[in-house]
Amino acid sequence: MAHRTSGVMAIFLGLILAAIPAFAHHSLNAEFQMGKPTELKGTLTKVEWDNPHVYWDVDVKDAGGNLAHWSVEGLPPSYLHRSGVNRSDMVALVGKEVTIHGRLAKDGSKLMFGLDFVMPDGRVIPVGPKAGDDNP
Amino acid sequence: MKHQSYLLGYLALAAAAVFAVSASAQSNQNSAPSQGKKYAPPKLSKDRSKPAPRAADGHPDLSGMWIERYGALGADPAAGKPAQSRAGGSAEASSYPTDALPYQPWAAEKAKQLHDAENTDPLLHCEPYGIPRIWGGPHPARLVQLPGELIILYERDTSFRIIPTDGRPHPDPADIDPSWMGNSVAKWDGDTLVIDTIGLTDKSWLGTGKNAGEGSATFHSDALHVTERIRRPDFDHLAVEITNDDPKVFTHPWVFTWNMTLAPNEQMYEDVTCSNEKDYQHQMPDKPAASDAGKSAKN
Repeated sequence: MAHRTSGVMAIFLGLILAAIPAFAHHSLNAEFQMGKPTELKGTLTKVEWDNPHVYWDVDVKDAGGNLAHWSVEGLPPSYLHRSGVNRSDMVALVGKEVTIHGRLAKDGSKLMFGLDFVMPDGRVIPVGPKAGDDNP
Repeated sequence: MKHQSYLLGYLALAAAAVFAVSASAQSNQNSAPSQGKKYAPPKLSKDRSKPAPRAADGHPDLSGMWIERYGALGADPAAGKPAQSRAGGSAEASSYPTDALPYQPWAAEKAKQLHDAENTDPLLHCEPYGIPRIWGGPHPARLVQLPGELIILYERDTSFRIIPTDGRPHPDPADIDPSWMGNSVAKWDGDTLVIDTIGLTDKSWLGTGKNAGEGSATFHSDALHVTERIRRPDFDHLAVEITNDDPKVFTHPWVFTWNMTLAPNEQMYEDVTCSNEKDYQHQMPDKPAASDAGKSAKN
């Protein structure tokens, strides 16, 4: 698969990530492998800043140098605003290298639910729900 | 731009902290200056000393922009990075049942089937939250109290309610169309506004309780009767106590609370369920969707 799991990601802290309901308004567990941390690194090609979820399109090079087109889903725009990042912050990154940590889709598509978005300046922006928070 | 709001002021005050990006060797360092600052959401007041303002009729004025919490988001724990602190979290924790909701046995079975089917949440089908599920999430709500009515504007679902507070009764139930927000009337009980809501469509989910809002399958019947008791115990706080009474599906009424703090500088963003919905196509049920033919709210 055209993604890379870093050694740090493999340090599975044993948190019960299946209990991540948090503020997602529907079942993440139905759609994503919540127990499988994944890192995606590539070029951000598009930002869909919309409800109910922001999406980032990322081109990832596989070992053979081929480009795979990935889609990363995050929480809604209002949540991201309250995490200190707005639409123009994200759109400004189109064309740049980004690193996103998250959870792969279960259905085999090139889709990941994003939890951390690492900006080029080093800031880590949480874009997913907080682990273990089960408040609706 | 509207996002350049008071939040930037808080950013300027935030303590500088740099998250070490231990996992990645940035091969293409962006030339933009590193801001190196950790975003801290606004702190929610814990001051309970100031009295609530009063409206001209002597009742507490519930008006304001209210939010239950910031800090909904957390860093990926498996990435070895610290979770973002819940700075400014709710002053007094809201509560909801920690056990499964008190469903009657047949209803608990139906809830399990709905949950196992994984793709039955109305939100996945671009349907509204409704009452009481609208109370939830890190979304502000704006209350506007006028003589004879309370207007509530919810960021969640970009929705609103206009609730008469003059003590009038509900219309004849035969004249009430089932709806997601229901038919609400309210009256004061001392300093507590009591909102009574009936006429709720049985298409909605309650969204509270264990596994709330997460494919919770918290269905209900057309007999659902919701009572919201709203108080402003002090200037900075709003306490909402919500009772769900549905004798067709539950063994007894149950209560949850939603405690909010004044957030006067908060703005509201649009929150619609399906401007760009793409999740439904990826839902993977653990089990085949069970038919609920033969199971009805009428038991």
